[in-house]
Amino acid sequence: MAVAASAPTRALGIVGGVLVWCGTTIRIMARNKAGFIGFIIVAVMTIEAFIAPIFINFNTAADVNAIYQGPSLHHLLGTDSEGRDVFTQILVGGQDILEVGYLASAFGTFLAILLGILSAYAGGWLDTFLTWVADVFLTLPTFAIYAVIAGTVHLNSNVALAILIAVFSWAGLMRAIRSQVLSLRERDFIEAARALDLSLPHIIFKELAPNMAPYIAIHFVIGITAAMYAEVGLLLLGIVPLSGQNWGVMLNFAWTRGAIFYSGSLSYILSPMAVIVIFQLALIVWTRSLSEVFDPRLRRGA
Amino acid sequence: MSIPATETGLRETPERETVLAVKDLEVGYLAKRGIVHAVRGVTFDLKEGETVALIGESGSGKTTLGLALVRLLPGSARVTNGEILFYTESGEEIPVTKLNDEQLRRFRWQECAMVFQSALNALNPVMRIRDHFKDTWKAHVRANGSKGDASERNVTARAMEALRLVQLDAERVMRAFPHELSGGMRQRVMIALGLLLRPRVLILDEPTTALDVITQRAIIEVIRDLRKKLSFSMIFISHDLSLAAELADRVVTMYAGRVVEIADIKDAFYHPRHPYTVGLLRSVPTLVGDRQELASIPGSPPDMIDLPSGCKFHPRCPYATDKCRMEEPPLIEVGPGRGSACWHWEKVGADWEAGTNE
Amino acid sequence: MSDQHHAIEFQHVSRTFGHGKNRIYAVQDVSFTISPGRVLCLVGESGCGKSTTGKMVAGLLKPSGGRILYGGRDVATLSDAETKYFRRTVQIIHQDPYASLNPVRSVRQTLSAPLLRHKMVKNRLELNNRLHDLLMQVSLTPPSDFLEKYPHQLSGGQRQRVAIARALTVQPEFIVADEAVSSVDVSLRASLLNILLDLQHRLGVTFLMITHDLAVAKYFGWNGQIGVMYLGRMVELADTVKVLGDPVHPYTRALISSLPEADPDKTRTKERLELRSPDIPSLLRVPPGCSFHPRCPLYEEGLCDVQVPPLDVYSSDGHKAACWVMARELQQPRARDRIGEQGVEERAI
Repeated sequence: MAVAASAPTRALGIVGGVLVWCGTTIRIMARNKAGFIGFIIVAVMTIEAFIAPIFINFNTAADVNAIYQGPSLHHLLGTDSEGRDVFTQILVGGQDILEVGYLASAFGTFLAILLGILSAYAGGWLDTFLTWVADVFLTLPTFAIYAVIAGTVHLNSNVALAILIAVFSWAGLMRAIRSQVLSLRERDFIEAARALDLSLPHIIFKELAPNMAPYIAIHFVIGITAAMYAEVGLLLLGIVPLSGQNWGVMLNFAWTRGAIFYSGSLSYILSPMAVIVIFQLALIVWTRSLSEVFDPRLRRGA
Repeated sequence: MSIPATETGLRETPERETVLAVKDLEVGYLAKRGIVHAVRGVTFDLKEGETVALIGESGSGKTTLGLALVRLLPGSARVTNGEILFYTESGEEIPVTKLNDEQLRRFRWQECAMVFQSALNALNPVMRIRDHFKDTWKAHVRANGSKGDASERNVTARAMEALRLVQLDAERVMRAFPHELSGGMRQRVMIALGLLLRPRVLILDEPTTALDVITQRAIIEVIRDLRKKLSFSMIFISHDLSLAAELADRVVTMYAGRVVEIADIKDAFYHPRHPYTVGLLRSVPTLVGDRQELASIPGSPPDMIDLPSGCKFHPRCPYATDKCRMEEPPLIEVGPGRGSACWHWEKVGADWEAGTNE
Repeated sequence: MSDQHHAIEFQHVSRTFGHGKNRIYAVQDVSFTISPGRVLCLVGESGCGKSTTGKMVAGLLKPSGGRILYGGRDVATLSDAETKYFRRTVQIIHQDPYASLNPVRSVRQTLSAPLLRHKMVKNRLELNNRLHDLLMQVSLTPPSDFLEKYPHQLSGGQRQRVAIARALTVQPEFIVADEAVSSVDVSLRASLLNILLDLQHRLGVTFLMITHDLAVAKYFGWNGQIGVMYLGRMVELADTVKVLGDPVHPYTRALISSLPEADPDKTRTKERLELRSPDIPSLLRVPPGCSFHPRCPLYEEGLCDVQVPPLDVYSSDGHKAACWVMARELQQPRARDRIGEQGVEERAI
């Protein structure tokens, strides 16, 4: 709209708009109790994982006097093979895992949307080719390939690892989006939009995409869980370089250094598993309220 | 020109036996937003050999009422009040709302069959028509049942007979899969399935909706022909006034889950006593005669969860007064065998008669 | 657009779908014209090609053969800018109000998009005024009650009004109404028809009304023309009054006599024209010669099943029909009584 406004006013307006949108979204999510609890857990754990490393300076020096201790007031979740505090590791060890999870799922979803819409709209040989590529990727034994690639390429950044996971996880969503676009573009409301000479970007982003949004959002969240499992799996097997502190590295150490043989180390082994499971569960539960956010038809009393 | 006596026998022989009586029936659905009051205190009866048209628009409760009659309501629906009584040939009274599963199985199709709206969806695409007949037979006739044994030959003979009654090439259709038949043929197969066990009552839900004009005509003629040959009573549910004009002896008009007018066919069309019926008649274009200006009913059908106060039609009614807004009118007897749920039925009638005599 | 031209002209237009054995002619050799501000109603059973014709008129489908002239100019030769203009001046209103509105977009979003895209409003105030005005035009009052609603919160009739308002955003000269009232409740149908008629009278909008219901065609197109289509071809085309009052083609007669009416005395005693078969043949197997011949009560072997009858002018008032038997009878008067006699012929199923 050609409303004259100074830059600061406009910026304020945008910020206001975003805040209003966030408010509305949270209000809609709050209607589904389980979904909202999931969202809260995800939000709290995410914020904690990214903030904790800033404040907590994890002491990597070994303490031979405190190896494999059980939970105590001093060490809430006990200690590891080097006598370091497990609870602190749990607090700071989420960042890598979540970063890769979010990034991998975001890359994969983006790739799937892009190729899905392109494939559906282009048609012809490009469509045939892209669906063929997707089919090939769907049949690949993904984890084995991760292992091979991670073994040959030096993957020491989270972004690189996220891209590797994303490259092998877009195919399913891409095919789903392609078929949704194909069916949606035959609908009367799309035909009406064409008759009104609305632009192609408008049709794709304003008319088509919102109809697929619930599906994409849910797929994105499930994509996070898949990417986290893939990453933790690779770390556990020690295929990717074990740098820094994270839940996957903890599991690897617990496994390779024989923590299972010590009675006091139960909380040490279970803790990383537990946080991963809790986070995954929260994500899955959160998806329940997502459809309502994106589909006005499902909003109760709206 | 008047209607032949065979079709509106009602006037000649008013003392016919009742085969189905619905008394003060109430059905509610549980929805996310609240309770949908789909049927609210419906009372009417069906005489032997009579055809009653249940007319109403979407949300009037007509389909729910039809499903309630054969106890095929979805799980979220409950009959909250009232009763449905069915009378067999021997005069036995069957309380439909109280039947157990076994009794219900025997009641459906043997006594009362229903033909559903979408003929394509109601037939299983991977089963031949022959097998549909066999399944229907097996499902509704017990070995010791009253209607004979379930031997293959018997079923086939009955099925062929039913198909011929609806004017289909029985040999060919029995072997066919549903997709090999046209829409009109499938609809006739559905009617034949309904008639397989010779029920006393046949309920048809929108029997001609979504069919082309000429196919629709063929179905109407088939139904008319069946009524001449067999003596069953019929209820058909439709939004289409012209279908009622074609086939009905009596018209039950529904609005917002209630019966707003009951009248025999001529009175319903030529002497309506409810403003909703008047509105419907004034809003339908006709083909015969000159072009007449159409007047539509203002407003929209009511929200069935949040119904208006008093008479549910008052927000759309030109006759609405304070009384209408406060108090819901009962079905008032406005003539022999006919009723109108309108406080101002006399004025409505006088205006109509004045308008048509102009 | 200059007035000496037709608003739209179809010259021997065809449209096929599919390839090889599965190729069907959805529309074949159809010609007609509509003058600016007039109404043409296309009637026929499903699969007769009336909707395909409507989509071609609206520029949503390209013809596979023949020419479509818009304001006297061949649509195929228009420049990009002209095509866009053409697109916008011809709007379509679909049948199903549940499919024609985007479920995730509010009424305001739906109506604003074309106004903003084509810069038809200058600022927010003007936009709001225009939105109110549009909703008033389709009797959705008060407009503020409807602007923020989503399609699922509206009744079928209200959605269809929003669809009409959406078409009006771009101030079209031509509206294709594809069964626009058929899936709306009876009590609301008349008001929709009256809204559309008002647009025709008040704004001089040209209409192509596609309907299976002759009574709707009669009401809407009383001063216009009716075209009857059958299996992709136009079989009769004349003024509404002539088609309904004095139909020539046996198919038109069958349609008229088959339609049930909301008047028990009239509808039960109406003269019926019985067809030899109630079922329409598949478009994949269109009968040779006159495609209506397997169902036609006037069928004559050797005459009807050889060549396709042309849509010929049948009488001095421009009444066109495509029927070999009736064309022959024209030369030997005593023509039309025969149809009545044939009416009692036995029906084969």
